[in-house]
Amino acid sequence: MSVNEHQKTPGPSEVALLNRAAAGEESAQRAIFEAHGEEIWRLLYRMTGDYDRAHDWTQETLLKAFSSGGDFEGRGSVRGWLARIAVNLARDQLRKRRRRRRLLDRHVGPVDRPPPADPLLQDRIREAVEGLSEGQRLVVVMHDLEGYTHEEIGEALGIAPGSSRARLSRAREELRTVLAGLRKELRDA
Amino acid sequence: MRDDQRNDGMIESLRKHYNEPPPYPKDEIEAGVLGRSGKVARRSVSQRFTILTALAASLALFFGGVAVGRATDRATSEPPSRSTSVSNTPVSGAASAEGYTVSWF
Repeated sequence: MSVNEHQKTPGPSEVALLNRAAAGEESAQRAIFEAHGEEIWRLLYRMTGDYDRAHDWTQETLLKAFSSGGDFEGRGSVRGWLARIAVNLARDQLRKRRRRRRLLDRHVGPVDRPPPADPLLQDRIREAVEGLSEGQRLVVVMHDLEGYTHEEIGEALGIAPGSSRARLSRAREELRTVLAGLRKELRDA
Repeated sequence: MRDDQRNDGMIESLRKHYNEPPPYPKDEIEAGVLGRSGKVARRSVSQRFTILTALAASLALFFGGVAVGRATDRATSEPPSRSTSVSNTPVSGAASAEGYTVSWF
């Protein structure tokens, strides 16, 4: 499924599908996997930039969705609901990872990391995106990179769609400022 | 000009250069999610870390226990050395309640 082909509101059949998946029906689980597996993978890869993590967390997201599918009340979209599970999982895991790294740094000393390579375009873009706050970065990744609507983002992050719009606007403004010197390279890339 | 239109070039570059996902490993993920009665086929990174930490802690406890055990065994099984004296006559300055002292020095 392409990033822009998605349902805004779930039909009764999709809610029923989630209920059947929660009851352990394999054909229902397969249908959800086929419809949403790739978009969850893409979102998690965009968030982490790490193949193994994106792989593991996609599996965990889907398994969690299957086990709690009965909790979906059909108020928002299935896509937004799945994104919420994925985002919460990734945030928790990344937080734990940061804590572990801080602990390691305290006891073993900071790990020697190689200095950044030449200021390649990719590094500059990564630096710019990672310079945004977590909330802004998530909105940019979900909306501009993966095509989620503000309603779906609102559902996934627990914010109002209007706040998602405002965050995106501020994030783009910041990115535009940081990447101003790269305009020519961006055009040629 | 709308924000969306104004940023088109920038957004396109971000899509291309910020964590562009590699091909979707559908079969692997499918095996983990739908194979084996819905159980995770592979262990997640966090699960692997937890297992390694638990293993390291168990090993540390085990070897720590062995070291303490050996020290205790040595202390309790070593025969009294020549300097050990058992006396039923009180030794000056070190008399016990029973009237004798055992010294390991």
